[in-house]
Amino acid sequence: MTGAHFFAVVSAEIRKLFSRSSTRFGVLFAILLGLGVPLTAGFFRWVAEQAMDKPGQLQGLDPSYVVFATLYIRNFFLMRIILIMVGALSLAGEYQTRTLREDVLRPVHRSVLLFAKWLALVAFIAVTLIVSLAPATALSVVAWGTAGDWQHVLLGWLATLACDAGFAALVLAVAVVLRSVAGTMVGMFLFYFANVALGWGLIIIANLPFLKLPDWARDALANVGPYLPPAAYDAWTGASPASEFAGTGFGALAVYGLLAYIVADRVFARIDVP
Amino acid sequence: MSEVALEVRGLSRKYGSRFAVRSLDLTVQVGDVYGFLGPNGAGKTTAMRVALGLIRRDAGTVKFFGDPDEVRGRRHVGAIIEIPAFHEWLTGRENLELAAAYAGIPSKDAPAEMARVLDRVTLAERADDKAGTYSLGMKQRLGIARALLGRPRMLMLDEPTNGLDPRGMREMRDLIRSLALHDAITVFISTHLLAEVQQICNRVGIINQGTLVAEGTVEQLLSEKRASILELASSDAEGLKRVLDGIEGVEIVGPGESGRLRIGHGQIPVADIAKAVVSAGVPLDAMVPIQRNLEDVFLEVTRT
Repeated sequence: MTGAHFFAVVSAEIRKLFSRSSTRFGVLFAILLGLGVPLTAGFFRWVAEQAMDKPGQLQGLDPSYVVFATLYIRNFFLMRIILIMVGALSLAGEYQTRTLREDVLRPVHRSVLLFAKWLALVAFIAVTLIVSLAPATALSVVAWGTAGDWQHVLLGWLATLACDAGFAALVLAVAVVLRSVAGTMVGMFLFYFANVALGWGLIIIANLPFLKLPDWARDALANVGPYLPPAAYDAWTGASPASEFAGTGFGALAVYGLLAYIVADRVFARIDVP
Repeated sequence: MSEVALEVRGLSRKYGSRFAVRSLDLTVQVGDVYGFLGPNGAGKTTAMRVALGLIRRDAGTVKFFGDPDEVRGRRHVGAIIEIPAFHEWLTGRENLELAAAYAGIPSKDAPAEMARVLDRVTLAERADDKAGTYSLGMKQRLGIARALLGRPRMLMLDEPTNGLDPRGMREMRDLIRSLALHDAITVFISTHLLAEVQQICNRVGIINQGTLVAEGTVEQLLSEKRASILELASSDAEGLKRVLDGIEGVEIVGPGESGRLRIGHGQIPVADIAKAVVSAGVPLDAMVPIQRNLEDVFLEVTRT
């Protein structure tokens, strides 16, 4: 396969992904988020000024905080849910509608097809980040100036790209194993639920008095939470101004993302395409 | 020696303990229009899917145009398996654009290539309509157009006339014939329509229960059987049956036309059969050699 052919396949996957209404909804939602958060912050500030009868006299908002707040709201499940849907449709959806068959019939290795799908999802994530970041930054800077911790803002958005790219690999893995859009949605919901339960379960186990665990084991069980998969896929929080950067979280993210991708690749290479 | 377009050796696929395809050997020569026949559930579609890499195989090899790399070999092949699937919210042309990218057609050549294949299937006028608005016949034609992208040397078509009305079937048949004749494309076609196969195919393979049970040119298959079927009539039907039952190598196939008895007689001369009947005192009113068609051959070799 030539480089030109590879780029043509990736480009086709991206075009296909962005032609879907779910993807367009995701982009529109991201734009609205980028506009909505600064406008809402400005509106509440105006309301507060009116209520306190001190127009223009309140201390200025930190624009970088507003932009980071946009990221927090984006990452609070909202875009993840859309990403699950978009990822599920791109693989399990194509499997169900038989359009995957038409791609597999072509002289393209399945591993290349899967990689192209993953890259298309990464492109979707990048676009949704940019279309949120750009208006949020522009509005915030216009309203409240350029002061602030912009380094953390940039790190946070880049870390989100990395986390969501790993999460996209997980979505593809679940989609290729279950081969059903609904199944992938439910599977990912169970993934979150199971991991939250697991995190709490380990803490409870660590503190069960009758188990008489050694201290190191109790500590390990109680502190493993940040390295469980859902926490790893949320490692971007380590880039926020309020947190201390935790490289281990990103290490776990890399491990889980890679494992998920390997599973997706191995299973996809073997499945029967109807 | 002519070039081989498709060479399948020892292809097997099992579902659980049941073989869907068992040790299948097939050879399709360049220029063939190869009819792949078999009853429902015989393994036709499974064999095609395995050959095209859609489903996993348990054993065997597949080579397109002698290329041992199956993925690379598929660049010579266009295929339609069952009803072609499209992204319904995209236009026919947009669907072809995506397929052209997967086929490895350089983007600068893609518009001309799409125009060519759309013209070939007479779908240019509706190319900018959404695929979801197409009739089944149009989808089949768009599927053919997609399969023709990149000028493949071989087309593999699985039941291409399924679900089409008589006009659509006729158009599809004409298109396939034209592709073979004018575009010099090797065609591998699976269908139930035996008369159609007899009209357009030069070679035929018949699969039953996952195994190839007959293969050859249409002429070969018909001539092998042509002299071996007779229909006999007698006013003493019971006596005739009794005599025929007693001749080694003669098999009563079933009732023939107009109350006659149809027999298969292999290599036994017709004169010997007539002599045996007459010398047993059974009146022989008619003895008609049956020229078999592909349907007769099909029914015989797929009888289980």
